[in-house]
Amino acid sequence: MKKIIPIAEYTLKENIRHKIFYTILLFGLVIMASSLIFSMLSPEEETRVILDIGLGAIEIFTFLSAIFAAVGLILGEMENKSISLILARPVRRYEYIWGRFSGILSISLFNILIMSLGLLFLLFIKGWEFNFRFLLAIGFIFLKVVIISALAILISLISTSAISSISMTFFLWVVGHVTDHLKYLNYVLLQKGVKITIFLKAIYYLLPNFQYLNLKDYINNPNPLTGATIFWQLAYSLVYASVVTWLSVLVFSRKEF
Amino acid sequence: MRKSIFLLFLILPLFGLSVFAQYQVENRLNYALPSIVEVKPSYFIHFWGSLLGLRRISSDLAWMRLLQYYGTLEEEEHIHRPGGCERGEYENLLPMCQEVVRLDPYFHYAYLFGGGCLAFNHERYEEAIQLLQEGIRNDPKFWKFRLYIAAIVYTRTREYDKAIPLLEEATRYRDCPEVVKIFLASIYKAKGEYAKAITIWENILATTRSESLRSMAESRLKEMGVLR
Repeated sequence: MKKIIPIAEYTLKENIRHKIFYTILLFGLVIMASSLIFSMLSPEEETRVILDIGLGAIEIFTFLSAIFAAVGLILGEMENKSISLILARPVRRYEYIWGRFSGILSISLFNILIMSLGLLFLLFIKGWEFNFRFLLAIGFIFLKVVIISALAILISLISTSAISSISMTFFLWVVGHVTDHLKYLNYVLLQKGVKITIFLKAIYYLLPNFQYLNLKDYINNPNPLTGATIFWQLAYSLVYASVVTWLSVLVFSRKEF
Repeated sequence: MRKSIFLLFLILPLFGLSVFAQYQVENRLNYALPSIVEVKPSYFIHFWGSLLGLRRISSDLAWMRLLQYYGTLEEEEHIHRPGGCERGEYENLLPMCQEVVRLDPYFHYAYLFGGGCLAFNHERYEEAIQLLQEGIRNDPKFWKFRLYIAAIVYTRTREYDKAIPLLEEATRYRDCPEVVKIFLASIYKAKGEYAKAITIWENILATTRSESLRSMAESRLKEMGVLR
């Protein structure tokens, strides 16, 4: 743990120094501000439009910053061999991966906090009534980023180029939002007499399920979100992310530099 | 090698726990949204929004498109006559409303607006009820859908005395679409209850953000001798 924190701090500082971090943050804030213009097209539902565009911007731009951090830092270090300098020190490989992962999460959290404050400011000047689910939606965006960051690290360790790594992570992000459709596919296939239920179920549980954490889609849902549900959503994201991160450790420990 | 085996022994039970946690979430979270395959979005951007987990934004975009369609002044779309549109116009109004509410089944205002416009502007009562019934299926606890259906049914049978209290109740809420207020004002005017019609038009004039509605309210108030 003593070595994980300095690596996380180093990752955070390295990211903050990067221009791309500010570019992404700025883009996020600009998109949020532009939601004011979009909201004029729907005067009766002004705050709804601002809220939706704002939450969408927070998620997409945090996702992008997490991908670039994961791919840029780890793959970049492996490509220019600077990773050997770190591993030459008394740092274990699992400490390196967990340190990097924690660093990426702290930068994502920082991003989410800044953009959420911006969004709250816009909403309050438009007379929005505070809804507790807003905070939950923000928290769940972070949980989605936790999972995708873990996956981005694993993919950057497996793949050979930054482009393939980014596109694979993006693909998983998209697939993670439609995993529920595997049930529909299973239903359609069963009607046609094709029985691959077990195979589809295995894929269903192997792939991340982001839709379960997509609380921003259910922000107006009248059904109460119980403590037990939130607990299991939290448990799912943290356990899934730790499985993926330990897999990254496994892959990384077998790599030779 | 030993390290790898140790890691595998750590990963496998953790994965089992993740499957168990996902199963628990699945059983507790009954918030299923209509499948994107069933929604059949008319625009590629709505489809992509859903793939990226941005269904509410997709619904908002579809909603803005609907407002633009319904607000178009082109002759082929909108034949004007005093007091509203020609019956049978805006034939895509229902499918467009359905797309909005299928992308986000909890978009209450879209049901009320669509139902109100279909019934009170175009006398397409069946379509209005169909849309509101979809709202009841998606959110049975939102009682305003039932209120609107009752008002529409009484309006269809010309039982205005029964429809008026329901419409009065609907107009008391902040999320009441202006089309309902306008319809109620026109009923009052037709019944000769000018004071009540004037109150409604004054309320529209004071609260609306739409320029066209503002000028409409002004002209109605001038007709009734309130404004000069």
